[in-house]
Amino acid sequence: MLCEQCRQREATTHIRRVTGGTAEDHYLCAECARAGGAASALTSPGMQLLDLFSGLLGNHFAAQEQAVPRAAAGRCEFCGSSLREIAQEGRMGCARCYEAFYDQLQPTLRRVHGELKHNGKRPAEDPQAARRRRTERELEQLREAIGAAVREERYEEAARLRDEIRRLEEGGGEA
Amino acid sequence: MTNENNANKNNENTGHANKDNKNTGHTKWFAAKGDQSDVVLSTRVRLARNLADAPFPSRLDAQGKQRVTQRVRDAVQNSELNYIDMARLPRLEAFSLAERRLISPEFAAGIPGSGLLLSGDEDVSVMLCEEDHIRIQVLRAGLALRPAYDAADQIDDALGRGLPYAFDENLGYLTQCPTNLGTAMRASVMLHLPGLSSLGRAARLSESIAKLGLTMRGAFGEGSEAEGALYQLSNQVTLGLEESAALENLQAITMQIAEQERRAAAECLRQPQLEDQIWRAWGILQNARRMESREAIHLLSLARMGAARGLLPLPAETLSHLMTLTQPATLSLTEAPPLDAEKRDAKRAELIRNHILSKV
Repeated sequence: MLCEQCRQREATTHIRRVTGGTAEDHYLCAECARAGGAASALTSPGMQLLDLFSGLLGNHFAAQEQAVPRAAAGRCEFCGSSLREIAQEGRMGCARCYEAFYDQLQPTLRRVHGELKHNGKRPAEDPQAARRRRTERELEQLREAIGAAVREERYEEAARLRDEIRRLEEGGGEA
Repeated sequence: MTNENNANKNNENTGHANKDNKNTGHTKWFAAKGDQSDVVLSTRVRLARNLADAPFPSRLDAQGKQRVTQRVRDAVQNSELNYIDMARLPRLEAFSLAERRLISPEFAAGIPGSGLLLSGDEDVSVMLCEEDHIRIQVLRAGLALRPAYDAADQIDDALGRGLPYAFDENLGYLTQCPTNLGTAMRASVMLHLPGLSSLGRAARLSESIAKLGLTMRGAFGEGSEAEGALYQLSNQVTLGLEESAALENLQAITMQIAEQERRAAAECLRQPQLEDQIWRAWGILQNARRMESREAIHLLSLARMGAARGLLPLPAETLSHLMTLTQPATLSLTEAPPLDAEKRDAKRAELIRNHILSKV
């Protein structure tokens, strides 16, 4: 039996993945198994998400390729990965790939994660940067609130929020 | 002073990952009694981190991986972590580490340039150049999500001070696989669900859990029901949710499942047939002279169910511990030179008998 991934070498690794009572079998050669096919199937609880990701990105890429043939021709300047390689593997080449292909990746990332807004830990940062970030987050919330206030014709509230934003922007936010 | 520190930290250990444990095979945290330990065997929290200025591991050759590995080693201040060169570690020892959940099975294959930082207690492991540049893992007995996270968080802070982490305001920690973006945290608990499993409810539970942003899957084996009724429950959502919220969510669902399992187990034990199976398992475990891995897991699971519900006279932890110790690679390493497959079945039966004997 040939490896289902490369279809060249003899399959020597049998992987059965059981999810919620249904079994799924994979037959791979040692090389493909090592290269990741088996690896992710064996351990990663995110495997289905990974499948989903490359599936979605693959579809998206195919659609895009027809519409705008040159859109995906670019490569990440840092690691040299192309969007096609990323779509095929479901893996990014380096951290900068996210920036390089952000526009193309965004719809897929949204489908996998929902809103793209990190809301957790941040790398250890100096206190000044932390303060700036808190102010920025506060400003963002205030701007949203002011929009809502204007839409709902709560003008007094909007004026108050405007003053608050001005105070923060002038650096008065840190008492 | 500095030189001395450097000499002490990252003690090179290329030969035997568990030399000190060779005769006992003990992983200390695993044998301990933890919270909810009638149902929850262990907790693991994993954080993935990457360097902003190096391609992800799959785009690095052995030398590139080696350089990243070395940079992380240099940044480690914690002298309690020993360094293991994965390419030079004997495969059997590597597989044993995987059986004890300290590394992933694919990492055990020994990717050139990859390395492992491992604490003496084997409750902290940091995989270097696995799927991501850095994967910090902390293990605890029983249900201990917050303590495990806090420990991982501390290591992360220490590493982050000396290394340029790949991070984006909107996407959070940048990971090789886009499904881990955000907190890049995977918290999981290992559950023993023999009651739910034998009532055929585990599969349905997995489905309903998927809707809550969590994943539950069999921890071992093939076939439709998880071998040994061991399941791994973990968070799936990493972007948009704070770490503490994800942990609380997982904690709450785990507590609910534990309650369901207790009720299911009580229901099962009222069936004379299952009660008989438990006592038979108990008899075989104490008397058998040869035992294959699958049979061991099956019988240990039945006995563990009896122990957790007060039917059998020994702590459930002893049986959890045996479930790990009797895995092929870990078992082979209990003797030097390592045992071949032939002698393993006899050793397995002997190990089980002795362990049980020392606890009853």
